[in-house]
Amino acid sequence: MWVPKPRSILAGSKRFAKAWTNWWMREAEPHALGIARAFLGFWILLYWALKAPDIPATFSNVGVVLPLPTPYFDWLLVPPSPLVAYMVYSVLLVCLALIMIGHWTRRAAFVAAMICFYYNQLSLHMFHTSFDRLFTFCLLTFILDGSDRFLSYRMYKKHGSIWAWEYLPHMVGHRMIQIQVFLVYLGTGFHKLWLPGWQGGQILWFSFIGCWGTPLAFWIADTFQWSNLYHVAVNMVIMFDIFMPIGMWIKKAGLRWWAYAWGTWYHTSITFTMGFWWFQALIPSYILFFGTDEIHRFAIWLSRGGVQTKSDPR
Amino acid sequence: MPSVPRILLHGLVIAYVTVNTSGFMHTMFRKSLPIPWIFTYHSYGMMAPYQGYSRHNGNMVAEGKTVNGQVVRIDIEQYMPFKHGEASIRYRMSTFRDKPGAYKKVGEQLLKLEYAKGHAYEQIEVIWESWPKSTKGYNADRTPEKTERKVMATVYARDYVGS
Repeated sequence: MWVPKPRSILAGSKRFAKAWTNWWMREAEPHALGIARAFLGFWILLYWALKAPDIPATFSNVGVVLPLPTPYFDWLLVPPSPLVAYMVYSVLLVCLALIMIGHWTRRAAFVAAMICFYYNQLSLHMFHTSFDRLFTFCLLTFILDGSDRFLSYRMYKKHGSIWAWEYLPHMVGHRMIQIQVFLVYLGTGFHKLWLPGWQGGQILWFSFIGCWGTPLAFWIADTFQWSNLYHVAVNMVIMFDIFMPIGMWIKKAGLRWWAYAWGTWYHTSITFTMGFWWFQALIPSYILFFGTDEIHRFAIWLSRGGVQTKSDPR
Repeated sequence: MPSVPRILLHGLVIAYVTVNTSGFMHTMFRKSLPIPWIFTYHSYGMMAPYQGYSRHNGNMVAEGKTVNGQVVRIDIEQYMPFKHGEASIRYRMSTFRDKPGAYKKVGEQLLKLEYAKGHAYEQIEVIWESWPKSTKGYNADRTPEKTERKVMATVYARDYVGS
């Protein structure tokens, strides 16, 4: 019977600890995370800003609001007056704008995440979508230090240019968003292999003519009617969904570009046929799958040399 | 020697990896790690696909009965302003363990909100309507002949006198 030698276990543990530390804790260029923060901040701000007319009915006592019962904080979950609801909502919008521009980012992200949790308990739990959870998760990662070290008002105030940058003290925030995006594709892709609903084209067909169908989807369904092509389309979706979480990491032969192209096409076509525009936020987050040095070079090109190539002292 | 913030950061990463492992296990195998369910559930919620489909559309409606016996369809969109897709998910009340209780709360709130607007109903019925999907449009087959109605809750104004 093979028994590992204590020395090899020790060496293996050391290698793992080194790789773990390098993966999560090393200092790195902040450009990818800075760009992702600015875009996600903008996207979440847009998502919430569009809800403005519905705030009283959704989160105040002039609408039908059913808070999720909790053992604690029930006093907090009594739907407030429309005025108070709009005040809370305004704080959320201001915080999201601050995150977008990278000013007081960590404090703003904390407050915004707390308001999102509050909204979830108050009313959003009934919709319980993956994108609402993803958006709140991104806000939580922005509480960690680092996301405003590039393309931010913080850098402008400190160094006189939004193109100035400082090293990330660690990669935790960057990695968390990256892994969460990866898991979206991993979970949805592999689960479809044995989910009963995904074993044929009917899921696509009935989605086109269901409550999420856009006028374009209804037109496609009505013009071309049901055919076996729906089976083909669903099988292609599953194949690419399985390829996606693997391919997006692989530089060789340009595989990652195929993955990003697929993701872009996939989310865009879903937007046009089912109106799920919220998931478009995943597309710019692909930037986190590039090397931090690659995005640094891209940022230099983007700023036409305005990016300082040498970081300030850490 | 690592600093305390660094040790805490490692702890956060370990917790994050543990929660996601549990969420992924639940997504794939309906098994999870022995951690508080809420963490597994939220992680699962970020990576689970659209699960299935139905051949029918479904939506909630509410009808009020006036003192002279007239039945009036209440415009619930003014109180729950959601489009078809979001509405059909919300109105299923799937986050409530006590679904009949949730539908009853909808009826109670509608009773009070409508009363505040001068519509004093004797009773309100919260009804689930379902009808076959059609390529002609979301509501194309929402006809009396093809629509099934199920009363989810009935609330009476007399039970709330003085409240």
